[in-house]
Amino acid sequence: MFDILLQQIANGLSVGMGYALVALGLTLIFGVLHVINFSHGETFMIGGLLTLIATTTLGLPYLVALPLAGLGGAVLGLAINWISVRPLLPRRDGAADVLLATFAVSILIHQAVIMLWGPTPARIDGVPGAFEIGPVVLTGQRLFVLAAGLALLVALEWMLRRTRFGVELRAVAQSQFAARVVGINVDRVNGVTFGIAAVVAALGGALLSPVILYSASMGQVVIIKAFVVVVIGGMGSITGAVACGLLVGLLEAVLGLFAGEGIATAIIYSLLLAMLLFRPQGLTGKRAR
Amino acid sequence: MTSSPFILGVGAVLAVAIGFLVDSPYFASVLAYGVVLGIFSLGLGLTLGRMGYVTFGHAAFFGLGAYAVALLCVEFGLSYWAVLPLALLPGVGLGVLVGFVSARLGGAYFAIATLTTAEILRLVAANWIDLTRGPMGILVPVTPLPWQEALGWNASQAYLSLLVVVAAIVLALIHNLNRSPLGRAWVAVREAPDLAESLGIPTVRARVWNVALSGAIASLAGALVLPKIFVVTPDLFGVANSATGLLAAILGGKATLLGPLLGGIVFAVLPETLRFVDAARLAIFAVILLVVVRLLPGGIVSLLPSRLRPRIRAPQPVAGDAGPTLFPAAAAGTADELLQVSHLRKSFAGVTATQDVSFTVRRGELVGLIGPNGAGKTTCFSQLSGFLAPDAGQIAFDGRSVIGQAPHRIAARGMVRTFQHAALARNLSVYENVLTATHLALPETVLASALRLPSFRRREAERARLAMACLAALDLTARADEMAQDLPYGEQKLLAIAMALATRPRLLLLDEPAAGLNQVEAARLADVLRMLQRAGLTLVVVDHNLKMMMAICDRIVVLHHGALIAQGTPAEVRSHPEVIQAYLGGQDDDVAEMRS
Amino acid sequence: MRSILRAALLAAACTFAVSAAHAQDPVRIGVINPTKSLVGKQGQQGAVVAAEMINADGGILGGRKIELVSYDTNFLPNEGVAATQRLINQDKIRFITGEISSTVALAVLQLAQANGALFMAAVPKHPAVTSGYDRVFRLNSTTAMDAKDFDAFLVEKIKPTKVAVIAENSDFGRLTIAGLKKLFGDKIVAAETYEMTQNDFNTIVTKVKGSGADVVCLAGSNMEQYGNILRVAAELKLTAKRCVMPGILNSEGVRIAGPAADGAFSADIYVTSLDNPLNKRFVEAYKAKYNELPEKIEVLGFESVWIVAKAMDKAKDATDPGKVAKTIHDNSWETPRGTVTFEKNGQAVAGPLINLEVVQGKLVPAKQ
Repeated sequence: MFDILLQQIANGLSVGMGYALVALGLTLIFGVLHVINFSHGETFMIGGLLTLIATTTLGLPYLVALPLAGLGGAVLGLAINWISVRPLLPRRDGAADVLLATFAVSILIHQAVIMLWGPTPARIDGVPGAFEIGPVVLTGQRLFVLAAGLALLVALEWMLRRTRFGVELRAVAQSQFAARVVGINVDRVNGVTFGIAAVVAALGGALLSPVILYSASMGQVVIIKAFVVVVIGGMGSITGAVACGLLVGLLEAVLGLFAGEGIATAIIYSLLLAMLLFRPQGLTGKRAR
Repeated sequence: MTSSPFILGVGAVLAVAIGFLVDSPYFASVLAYGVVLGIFSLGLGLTLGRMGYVTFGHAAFFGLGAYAVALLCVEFGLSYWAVLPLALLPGVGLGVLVGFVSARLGGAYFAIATLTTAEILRLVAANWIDLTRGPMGILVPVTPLPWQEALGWNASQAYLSLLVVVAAIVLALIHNLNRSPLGRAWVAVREAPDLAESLGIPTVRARVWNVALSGAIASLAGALVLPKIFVVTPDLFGVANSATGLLAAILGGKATLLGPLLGGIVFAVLPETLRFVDAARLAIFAVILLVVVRLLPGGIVSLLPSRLRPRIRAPQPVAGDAGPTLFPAAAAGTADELLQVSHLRKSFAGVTATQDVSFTVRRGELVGLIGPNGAGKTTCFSQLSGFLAPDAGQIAFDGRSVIGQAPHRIAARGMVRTFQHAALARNLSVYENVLTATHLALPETVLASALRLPSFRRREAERARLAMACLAALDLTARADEMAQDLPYGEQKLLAIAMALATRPRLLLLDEPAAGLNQVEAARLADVLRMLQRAGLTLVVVDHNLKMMMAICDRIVVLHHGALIAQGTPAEVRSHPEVIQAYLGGQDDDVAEMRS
Repeated sequence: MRSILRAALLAAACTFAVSAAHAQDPVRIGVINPTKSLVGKQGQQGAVVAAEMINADGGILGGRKIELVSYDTNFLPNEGVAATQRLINQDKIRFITGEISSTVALAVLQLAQANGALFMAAVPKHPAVTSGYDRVFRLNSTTAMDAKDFDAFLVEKIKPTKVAVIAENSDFGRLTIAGLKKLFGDKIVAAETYEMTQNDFNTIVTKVKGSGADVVCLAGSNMEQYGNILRVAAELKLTAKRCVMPGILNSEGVRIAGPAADGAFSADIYVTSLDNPLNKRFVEAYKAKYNELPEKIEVLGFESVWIVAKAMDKAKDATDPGKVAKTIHDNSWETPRGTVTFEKNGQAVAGPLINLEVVQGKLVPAKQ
């Protein structure tokens, strides 16, 4: 029993890293633009789709497909921002309109992919090999997910703390008005932030698809799990998103041992509801307005 | 303006005519699905449009109604038509829960919470095999309607006819509620929730009613779809249904009556008529939603000529009708001291906004609260009116404490506040705004509103007269039908006072009524305040217009850095050394004003 | 005299023209399938090949061609009902064939029965599809029929000591679990279910590995899912023998599983290499049109149109569902599977189950 538990913990951590990457983008967008991007899950899915196309149709190796997926994610993110976020932000009901517009975009992307590529899930071959560490078997891909995820997080942290753009981003997150006053191009910061969030989500999809099967509907599933992570971790908190992403992945895997996947998911969703009702600011206390 | 009997009449005629107008069972069936979707969207529109809450998971109600009826039919062998009305109950139950949630969460969080609820229900339905047979679903036998044979109709026609009747009833119900205090309360919750609370409208209760009704309607729609689909499956709870209802409500115009119904019909009928559309149905709907949100926030119905969108017109003042008494007798109550504040304290993260403030207000006084910016005047008001909880101290109104009470309860007891920035419902007319404010003084039951009983009509006429009287008292009668946001700023402030008057208060807390007013407007305001005091009201006024304050106040309380530094008559305060000290950091005109 | 002759010739020509025109009226048959999905497409393609083959042979009823009117049902009962209504009321067609999902089939059945239409269900396995209506037929085998042959095979040839079951959360999956529990009693050491939308099987496979079973039985209709389960089993180094329950395994599933499928065994009512003239012709025609080899789903889709058309021809009637249904009941039919007859409730009966195994990435009949 203990062996199975250990295996599940290993499984859960790698999937949780994927959740963390998606939640990270969501919380970044909320922290800086103060809006919810409902189409974020679809960017995750597109990352998986681009990887699939690159590895099967174009025959490229997986490690070459990864950065392509990231690039595609960036393009998609910028397009979404340009179409459904930027023009709506200045409105009086801006946040609600962005919520609705990104909801519409998520449906559009999901349906378009189903129409063009079909709803069938597909396998992607990632990093080969498997390593046995005691009773636990970790596939090469899962190790890669953990390693790449960590690398992304480190890179992001470096960007936030050490680069000029990171300073601008943090300034806009604190106060758009003040940032504008000191001459920061807020629109540009918003756009780039959106792009970064999209790249991270797309890479998450590219990393996770070899593990859990790519499917056109994987975005719809992951967006709610990302919300669970972001609400529990605190909307706008990066550490919260990462920690809770891993936590949710772990919880899901362990719960799955005792109940079916459907019940495990329902339990996690109920956690989200409970959090929203009793502590909407999440565990780290960052309150969203 | 259409009345509900008219709606019911049209519905009845249509229902009967169905048998002769729609011959093909195929068309009848397609239209029927459209009407079901329309009813679902009507329910959704109630929450989305009237109350302004975006819901991504309304299919939770839809599926709940379908499953409830299916289970009752199959487990207990009851007839589908007999069980049908019971579908309202689970919708109300879940709606009440979600309504309470909506009071704590807004915007995106509420949307996410509704989506999550729908997903949880879907997972439960898919996994509780013993009860729901999981993904295989429950097959529900639907017997023909009793009157089908008699009228010589086929099953689809009878079904469509029944649906038209139900749709008409739901429309009439919503129409009645929209034009009642409850409906106006919903609009107030949407436009200015704090103002609503301060006017005595119990916002939590209003929200719960809204979502409970919305959920009941959506639930009924879910149960009504059974004769069309035969099998009840977990994807009734799915995002596709929620999204379609949302799109229908928005496309049809979320803040209108017919809009969601039309939207629902269009969204069901169009894919059937254009087969190539069917394959890409959701994608096309999503594109339309995107376009609508980008370009047309009011929805398609906003394109219709405005005479189809009713506007409540102010009633003509009846000559010789003195109107209702606005102000309770000054002698109401016993104690001489109406408001007692003692040792009030409030801090925020290290900043002490209110330090040990104590003062009293006697019945009939006009007390001024002044002090430099940041002195904590508005914070004080917020604590008095229940919007902030003090850290320590006592606040007694008419002898009883108000600490811990919701703002609308405090308003009900007679202490009402206005806000620094005139928080009006911008898209309503001046008259509609004041009419909304009569909620507290002349309450109404939901049942009487829904059925528009004669007793309701009587009380509504009283509310109209009260509203007109308040407008007249502030000389705003001429502006009654103008949009609130079109008023000059000074008159918007007066409108705020008129609305406060409609609650029949005993003590008014006016937060910077003169802010932004020019000399002429300020003088008019001063006259109004004096008039109110003469009529028997007690007033506490916060403002920076020291000239006006010195002129009209009986007593003045001065705050500085959260502490009370002086109180007394204007003359005493004007020459108080600490007061001058406090203002010395400001402009010289302040000092000059005080001395003049 | 000449004018009378001319008039007679004219009359004869007109009659001939009219009847010839009539003879050119196509016979329309309705086909419903979830065409957006792979299985639905496979069923649909089988039906199309059937129509083409019949038309290439000269059609039925004196040269009339078969025309298929197809609608997408997307695994939703609602869509199935709408499609059936369209067929019956708009297109005036009362012969409905195809479909993959039992849930949709059950809903369609109700409507068909209410309208006296004939419904030839191709793939649905649920027992209730063939109950109480004399114009419904079902071509696939039921789980009970499969169990009769396969159970004996499992017990006598495979002889497991500990059995684990991984089944999808559907009637089919649950029926399979119940059947295996009855067969093996307490030799069952694990019985896991997964959602139809599930993508991540690591938990389930981990649990099965921990149960120590020497045979693991898979019951899932989705080849992507069971294909991936096999993959994960190989990744996690699960050593148990892999048994795929009858009726599910096909070459797409084998392809998805990759090398992990080698050594897995199963059984089905059809295999592409069946040696009879009709099957050879069918396989060739299918390969020529779609550049793929047909398997069970395709052949059932084929049969649902083929048998209805042949029955119409034999009954000399393309409009009365009752007459055609009786003809189907009263006769036996040659199909790529061999000879098919129908029981009283509409259940198709053909030859015995064929044992299959996966050898070097190919699905082939098992060596005895």
